[in-house]
Amino acid sequence: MNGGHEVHELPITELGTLLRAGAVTAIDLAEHTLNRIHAIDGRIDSFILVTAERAMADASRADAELAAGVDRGPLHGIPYALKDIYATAGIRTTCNSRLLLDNIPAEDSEVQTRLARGGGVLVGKLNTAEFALGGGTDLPFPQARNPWNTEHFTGTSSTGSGAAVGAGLVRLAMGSDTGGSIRSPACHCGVVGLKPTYGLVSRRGVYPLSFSLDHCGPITRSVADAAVAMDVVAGHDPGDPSSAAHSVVDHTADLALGVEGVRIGYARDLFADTPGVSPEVVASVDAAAHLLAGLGAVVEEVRLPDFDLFKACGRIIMLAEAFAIHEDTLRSRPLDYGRYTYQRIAAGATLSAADLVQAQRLRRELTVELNNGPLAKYDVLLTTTGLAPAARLDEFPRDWPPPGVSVAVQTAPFNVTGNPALSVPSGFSASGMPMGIQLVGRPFDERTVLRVGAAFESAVGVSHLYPRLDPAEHVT
Amino acid sequence: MVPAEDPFDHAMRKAGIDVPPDLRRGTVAVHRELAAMAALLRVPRHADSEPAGQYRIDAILPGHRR
Repeated sequence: MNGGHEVHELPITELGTLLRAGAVTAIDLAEHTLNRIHAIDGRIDSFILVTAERAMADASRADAELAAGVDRGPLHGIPYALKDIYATAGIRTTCNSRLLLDNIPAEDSEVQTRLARGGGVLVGKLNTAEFALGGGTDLPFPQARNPWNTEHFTGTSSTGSGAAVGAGLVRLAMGSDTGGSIRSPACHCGVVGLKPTYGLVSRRGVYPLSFSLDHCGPITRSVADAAVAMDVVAGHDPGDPSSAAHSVVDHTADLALGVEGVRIGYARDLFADTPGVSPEVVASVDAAAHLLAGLGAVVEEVRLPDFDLFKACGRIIMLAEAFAIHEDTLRSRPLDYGRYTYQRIAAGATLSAADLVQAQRLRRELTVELNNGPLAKYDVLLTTTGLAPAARLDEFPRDWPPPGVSVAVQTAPFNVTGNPALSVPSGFSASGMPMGIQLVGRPFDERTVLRVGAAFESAVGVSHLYPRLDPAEHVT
Repeated sequence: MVPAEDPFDHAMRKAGIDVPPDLRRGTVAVHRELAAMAALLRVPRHADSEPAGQYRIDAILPGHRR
């Protein structure tokens, strides 16, 4: 306990201060984390593999280095976990697929290399929809469950990342986002998720779903934690063909500036009239717009290009690229895929070359229209992340697609354009499930997105809340 | 007259994908959704919306910049 708080309740920067003051050790943090995983994860199945020995070795090294005056930066001694599509040398990386149950990579993904170099402590590999796409109950590992109500969906596809951070098992989990797979579980599990600008965080060594839409990024307990993580994982990687040669900034620099004078375009039309949208979600995002205006931001409604165009563009590119990646094994081992995965990726075979080219043409138009239109006038756009609180798991049928808006998120537009997008908790539904807003910025302007997110998070005041998963644990 | 092959079956046969019968229903559902989406893309486009930006030799061979 520190100041009445368990260590997992403290921001990464505060943990860093305690570590450097000798008030806590990396071993303490690793043991605390592993104990909580042991006590709680059986109820939410967020981990596919717990790397306890590795964690203790990392932590021991982190303590020894600090004692010797070697400081690797803001994640030195901090526990974290990776979605099980990030390659980890010598550690099984399954993508939650029967096709890769014996896959032990020889090399780390670039993100893992950076986290290890930054002194982080790897505690395990996290649950995921198969190949970051297909969910369902017929996969090798049990479906992750929402820590706020274990009968509910976590959001997809970084299911374990959302659940583990939501449950307070780790403060930082890396996810991936091809159409919303960081922001959806962040929203539904009541935590923060950042899809950075395309090319800002390396994809090397992360199993691809769709080369040109995949983004790697952090799911964290707070906006400040996300900023700290970005300072470690962002940056040019010559080994990733999509990596941007962009100078890396201090992502934490503007967190305390507030939103006075920031121009925010409220993209209400992106979701408010969508069939099936939850009135609670609409009310929550309307309240967020009012709150941000009350904090001094200039908030005005803005129209974006038609969501259906973004959705069509993104879906066609995603499934064309996914089919190209999987076509051999779809032919040779069809029954080793989960049902949802097979049904979605195999359908990519029916797309024509012209479909893909037309989608790429539209992608260019939408990217220009968004950035030369609304994002030329406004610093940040505000919209929703999800259309409804997380659905019950028993609402999912045996075959794709699930009904209604049960998995719908309004996130794909910003995978199509590559702009940075952040999901921040905005409160809870009447049924006690989390909801979240989405903030979208100009390319490589994560700093402004994080600045607005931090001001909103502070004003809403829900980030300190944890779900009740273990009767013995302290709940604030 | 030989009946026209179903577009789904035609595409799958051409791709060499033999869809297991038990997985057909959901795969056809996704195919129909994609076909409707692909129709949305068939509108006149601007001259500058060509996708040649997908290929940039200076991005692939940065060492060859002069």
